[in-house]
Amino acid sequence: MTYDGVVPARGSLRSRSAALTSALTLRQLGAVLPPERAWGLWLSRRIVATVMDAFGPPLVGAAVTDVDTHDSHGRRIAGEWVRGPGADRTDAAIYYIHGSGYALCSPRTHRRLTAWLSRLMGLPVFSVDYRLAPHHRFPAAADDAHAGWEWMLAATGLPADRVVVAGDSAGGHLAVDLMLHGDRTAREAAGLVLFSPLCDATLALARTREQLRRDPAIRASDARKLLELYCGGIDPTHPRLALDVARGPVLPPTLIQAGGAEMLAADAHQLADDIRAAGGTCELQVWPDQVHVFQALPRLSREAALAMRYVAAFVANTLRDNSAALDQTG
Amino acid sequence: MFGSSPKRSRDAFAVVTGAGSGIGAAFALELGRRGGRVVCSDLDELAAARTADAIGDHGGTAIAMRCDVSRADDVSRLATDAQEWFDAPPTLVVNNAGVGAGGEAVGDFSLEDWSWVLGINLWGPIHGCHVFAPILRAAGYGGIINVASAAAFGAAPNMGAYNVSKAGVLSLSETLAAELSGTGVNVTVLCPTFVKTNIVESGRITAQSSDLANTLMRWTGFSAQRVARMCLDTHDRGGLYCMPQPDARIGWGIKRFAPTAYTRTVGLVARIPR
Repeated sequence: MTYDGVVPARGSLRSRSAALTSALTLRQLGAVLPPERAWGLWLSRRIVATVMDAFGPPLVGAAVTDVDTHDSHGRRIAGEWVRGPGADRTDAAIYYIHGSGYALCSPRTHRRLTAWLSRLMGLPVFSVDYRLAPHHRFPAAADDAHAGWEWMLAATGLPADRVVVAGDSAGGHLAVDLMLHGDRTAREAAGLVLFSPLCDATLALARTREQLRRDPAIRASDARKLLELYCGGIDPTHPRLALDVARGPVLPPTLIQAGGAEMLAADAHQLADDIRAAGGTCELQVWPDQVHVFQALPRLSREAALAMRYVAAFVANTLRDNSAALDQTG
Repeated sequence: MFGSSPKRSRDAFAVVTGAGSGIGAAFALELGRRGGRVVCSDLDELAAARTADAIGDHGGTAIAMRCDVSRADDVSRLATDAQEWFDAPPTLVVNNAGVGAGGEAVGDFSLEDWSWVLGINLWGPIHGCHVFAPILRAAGYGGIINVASAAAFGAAPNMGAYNVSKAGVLSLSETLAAELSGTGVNVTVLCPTFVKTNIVESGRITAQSSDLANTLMRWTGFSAQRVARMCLDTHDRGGLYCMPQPDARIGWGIKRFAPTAYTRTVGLVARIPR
C-alpha cells in the first residue's frame, strides 16, 4: 500500500492564512495568559474550546453516550462513546486519548475529531476523559488512560487486535505510555494513530524546531509552563515522562501525522525514528504549513479532510490485515 | 512577468555550511522554500538532520551531511558528496559556519583560542571558496555567499580573533568577486550586526560579555530568517555587500569616511566603566 503524493508540497491558501492569523492572535495571547493562575487557565480553556468549536463544527447526526462508572478495581472510568452517523459496526472500535497539554481540553472539545473518525470508519470511538492538571498531576492522566483501555476491552468484549488506539498532542504521549507501561494487551492493538504527538515532554526538541520556524499557535516557553502544571517537579528522565520508545517493545503499526508549521513536527520525526529503531513500522506524514492537530480544525484547513481520509484508509488496512492473519491461522 | 534575470536563490542546488542552527539554518530553510535542493552540512550532524527534516516538512528537498569546515578534506568530501546527490554541480554555496569568541583583549586571549576561531571562521570560508569556486567557474553559473559580520569592519575591542577572521572573510569575498567577474558566478558577503542565534551560547565568550551580547541580541537583533531572506534577495540582484541592519550600514559608512576618528571613538566608548 503506497500513498505517495497524498501530502501536497504546500499548504492551501486558507490554511496558510489561518496559521498567520493564529501567529498574530493565539500565539500572543499564550504569552500573556498565566496558566498557573486560575483565571489564566480558565481563559485558556475557554479560548481553546471556542476555537475548536468554531473551526471544527460538530458533526450532524453524531450520537454521544456518556460513561461514568467504576471498573472492577474500583477505579473511576469517565469518557464518552461517540458514534458518527452510520457508525454501526461492532466488530472493532477506536480508543481515543485527546490532547492539549494535560490541562485544557476534554472529550467535548475533541468531539468533532472523534465523531469524524467514527463516521469515516463506521466504528464506535471511546474517548477517555482523563483527569486534568493542575488538580491531578503526573501520572494521574496516564493512569486514567490505562484504566480506560482495560475497561473498554472488558466492556466491549473485543480482543485488543480489533481496537485501534488514537490520540493527539499530549494524548499521543499518553497513548505511547499506554503501549510501553500499560497492560500487555495494549501492545497487541491493531494500530496506533497519532496526530501531532508530544514525544519530548521537556519540549527541548520543540524549542530547537521553534528556532527554525515559529509555531503559529504557541511559544515553546509558554507551552512548557502549561506542561509544568502536570509534570513540574518530576524528574524529566522519569521512564513514564521520557518514554524510551527506541529500546522498548515493538509498537503496533503506527501512523503519525503532524503539521509542518508546528514545533511538535520535530517530536513526530523523533517518535517515528524511535518506533522504527525498536523494530516497528511507522508511517510519518508531515503536512506542509499545517498547524498543531489541524485535523480537528476542518474549517481552517482544507487538508484536514485529506488527512482524515488517509487515516481512515490506514485504520481499515490495519484491521483488515489482522482479520486476514486470523483467517490464515484458523 | 517583466522578463526574468536568472534568480540564483530560486530552485538552487545549494550547499549550506553550519546549517544546524542560526543563520545557516535560516538560509537552508529559505532556499528550500524557494524550491532548491539543499545540502545541510554541520559539525553537529544531528542538528543538520533536524534542519533537513524541517525543510522536508515544508515540501522541500534536503539532505544532512557532517562537515568540519576547518578541515580541507572534509570540505572536499562535502563537495563530492553534494555533487553526487545533486547529480550536477552546485549552483549556490553558503559559507556560513562560524563561532563566536571574545571578551578578552589581544594578549589575554589564548593563542589556542585564536587558532580555534580562525580555523573555523576564516579557514572554513577559505576551504569553501578554494573547493567550490573552481567548480562554479567551470559550470559558468552560480553564486557564493560568505557570511562575515559587521565585526569585519567594526573592529570592536576585546573581539580580536573574531574581528580578524571576519575581516579576512570580507577581503576573501571582495577578492573572489573580482576574480569571478564575467564568469557568471556572483559573490555576496553578508555583514550583519546582531542576529538572534545561539552563537553566544556555543562560543568561547566570557560570562560578562556573553550577558551583554545576549541582551543586545534580544533587543536589537533581527531574526535569522529575515537576515537570510534579505541576503538572498541581495544576491539575486547581484549585490556584493549585504548589510541587513541600519547600524551595520551606518558603521560601515563612518568607518570608511573617518577611520581614525571611528577607531578612537570606539576605544573611548570601551573605556567607559560599566
